[in-house]
Amino acid sequence: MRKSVLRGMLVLAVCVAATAVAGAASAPARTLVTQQVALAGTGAPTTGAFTPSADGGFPLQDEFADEDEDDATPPAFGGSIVNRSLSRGHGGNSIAAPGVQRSKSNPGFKTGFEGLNFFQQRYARGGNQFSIEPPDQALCVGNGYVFEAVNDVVNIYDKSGASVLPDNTATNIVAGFPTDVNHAVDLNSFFGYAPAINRTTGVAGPELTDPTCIYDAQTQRFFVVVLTLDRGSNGGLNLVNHLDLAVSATSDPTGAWNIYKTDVTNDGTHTVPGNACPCLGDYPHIGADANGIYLTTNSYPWNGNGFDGAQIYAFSKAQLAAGATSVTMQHIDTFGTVNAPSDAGSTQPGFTVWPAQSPGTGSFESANNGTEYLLSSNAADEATHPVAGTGGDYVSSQVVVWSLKNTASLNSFTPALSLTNKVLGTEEYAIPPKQHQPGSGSAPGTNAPQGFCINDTTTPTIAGVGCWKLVFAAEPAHNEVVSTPDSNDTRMQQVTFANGKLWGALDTAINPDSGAQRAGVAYFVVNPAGGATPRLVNQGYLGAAGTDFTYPAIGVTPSGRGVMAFTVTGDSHYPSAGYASIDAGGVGAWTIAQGGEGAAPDDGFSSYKSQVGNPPRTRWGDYGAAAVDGNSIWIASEYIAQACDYTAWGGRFFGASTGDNKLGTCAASPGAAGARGALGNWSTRISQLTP
Amino acid sequence: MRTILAPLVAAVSILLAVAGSAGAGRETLRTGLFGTVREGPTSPVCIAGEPCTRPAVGAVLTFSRGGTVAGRATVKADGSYRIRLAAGRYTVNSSRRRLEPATVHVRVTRPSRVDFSLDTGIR
Repeated sequence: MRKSVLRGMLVLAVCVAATAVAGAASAPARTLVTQQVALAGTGAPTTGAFTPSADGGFPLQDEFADEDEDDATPPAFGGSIVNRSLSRGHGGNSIAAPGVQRSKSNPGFKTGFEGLNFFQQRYARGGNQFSIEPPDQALCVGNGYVFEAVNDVVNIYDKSGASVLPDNTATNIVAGFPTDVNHAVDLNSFFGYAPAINRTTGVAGPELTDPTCIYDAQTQRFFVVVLTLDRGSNGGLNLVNHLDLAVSATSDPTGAWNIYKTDVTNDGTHTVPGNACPCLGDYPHIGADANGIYLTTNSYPWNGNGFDGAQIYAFSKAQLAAGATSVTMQHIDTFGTVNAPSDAGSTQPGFTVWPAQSPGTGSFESANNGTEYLLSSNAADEATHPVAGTGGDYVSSQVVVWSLKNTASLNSFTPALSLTNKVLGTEEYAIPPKQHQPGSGSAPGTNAPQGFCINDTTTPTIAGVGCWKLVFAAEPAHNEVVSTPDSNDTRMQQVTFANGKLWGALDTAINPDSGAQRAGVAYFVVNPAGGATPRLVNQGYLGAAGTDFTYPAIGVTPSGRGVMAFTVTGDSHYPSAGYASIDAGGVGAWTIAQGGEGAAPDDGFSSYKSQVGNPPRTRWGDYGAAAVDGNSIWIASEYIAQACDYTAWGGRFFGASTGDNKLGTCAASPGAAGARGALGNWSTRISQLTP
Repeated sequence: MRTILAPLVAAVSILLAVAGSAGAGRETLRTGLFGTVREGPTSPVCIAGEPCTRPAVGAVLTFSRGGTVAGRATVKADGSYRIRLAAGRYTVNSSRRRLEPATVHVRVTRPSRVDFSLDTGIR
């Protein structure tokens, strides 16, 4: 039944040794299309016009619900990927597997702070925002600034964690009160769009998603990209979508930005029946070398089950940095370019072909007149079954090393890029199981107040007896459970080219100490050798009994010292922000960042079937971030920062005389900074480390 | 109590198993699976109040045991499915996108509810 609309270490393991180069032949790229991308406008981290939101009532105004229970075994990789657990922390009782190589680095913790969170997201721009999950982490650091963006809000901090954006509390009126969102600005404002949702008229603006960014030390510019889904005249998504690339006009990200738009609706079209575009240019990510800025997407047909290949968009970095009115861009479709079999024939498309970013100004690859490297994996159906969209076993022992050559030509009127790839044999990786947090599968306690509320039928509230009446117009089933958050699939995560090596990691199933399967990380260190004969330098796993590691992001300094960020969740950890050192010798012991220990279960709306349908899919991630600034590495991961119990969550709505006039924020008073929103409690943790 | 009931449950199971082997038709009337199948995410970001998954209408679920297909179920317009299966453990595949869970257990005693998700890959 569809419920009604709501108103209102581990480690490690092992190394490398004798990994061979498999399938060494490469296939040429199919097509390169040169375009000129016009400067479309300017933006700034300044809140745009809006009508103050009056919401805060009940049942909640903007969400809907659905129905129905279960009995199933957890999804699992049928095999076993074994590693040895190492103790958490540094200098402890680590147990290294015989012959295992380990990182020699021991990152020093410099500082850390809570970044953007659900409350700030929901109540920026006068509350004319949606409740959304997951955050999707963007972080880039340079020139003294820490720039963070998530779905759908942005903030800029100094290195102590204080926002350097103007205090907008006085004008950020929500439910009648100036509301403190720590100066955060919604992404729609940043890119010059109407509000995500006008809470007065109900008119929705463009839907921005998947922010990602880099700071380029060479040009001293910040580059931020989002995928923007357009809406038609009826207010619904019209399948048209484009990339918005914002480039800071100077080295100061608090000032003006230039914006370039690239339509991706019909990119990736190929001849596979049933999978023709229009497409979604999903999961954009950004990389750079000395000559170019590279955006990549996964092209999914809106009206098919298959996959139309990863797309690469190569821009002249110099032209972007100069704010040129027209910028040269070459677009490359990777469909049919990987020499490995699929249901499309003897080749596979690229899938999540993540472009590398490099630290500083001297780490770029100069071979082949400039080379940008990219890295991808191929266990997913997108690679092995792009036609049918299903049928794979979700296991692979390969990664694909991509070389985009002659990038210096991007500075000419006639760029002539050349894309090649090589398939490398690696350790095995496979689809990970969901994360398990304390209480997963059991009824929510008062530390998961949204779930507790949905199940409650006895609490007196201002809407009547039964907390659910604050959230739903029609009575839901009262059988919600603590969720198992998403662990991603096996797609490649953040890629870095530093110290002459490519560094990348992905999510995998793993059986720590030959025990129960958990979510872990497989990492890869590759010498790309100019793209001619790439070879593995190291590889291994991060896993621990009773613990899940998800959404890894690796940052590496020019000297080859790195940090890998991730979310830590487990039998004894609520979702937390963790990290481990990494260098060419391997991965070190993991730890949770100071202040990054999870305080409560994930209690977001996508966890509950009465909110999103049965079965729910608890969104988490969808990616972390790491950024190198001099000798420091800044990392950011999603976690649950603050506990907020049921009584505080209900506050005035349970008849209390104090608290917020908005449900579920746990703020001390109307307009005060809240710990969460009624429908979600994600946050982000930013940490500075010196490896 | 538990120790007393355990042999009783075992005895019932044996009887049902014998009945199943003697007459598959009668057994499959009693055992099987039902539930819903949804595919998602349908958008990179989930917005409260807007569907982030949808009923996987028309998707075909194939249930196999020991490498042999035991049955197929097509997802109806409301996202529901129902299939009669003998008790036991099955692997499940879908006609589109990766399915979760990929293995299920059909109980001896009664039809079981299992709800499936299809992963579109969109993030």
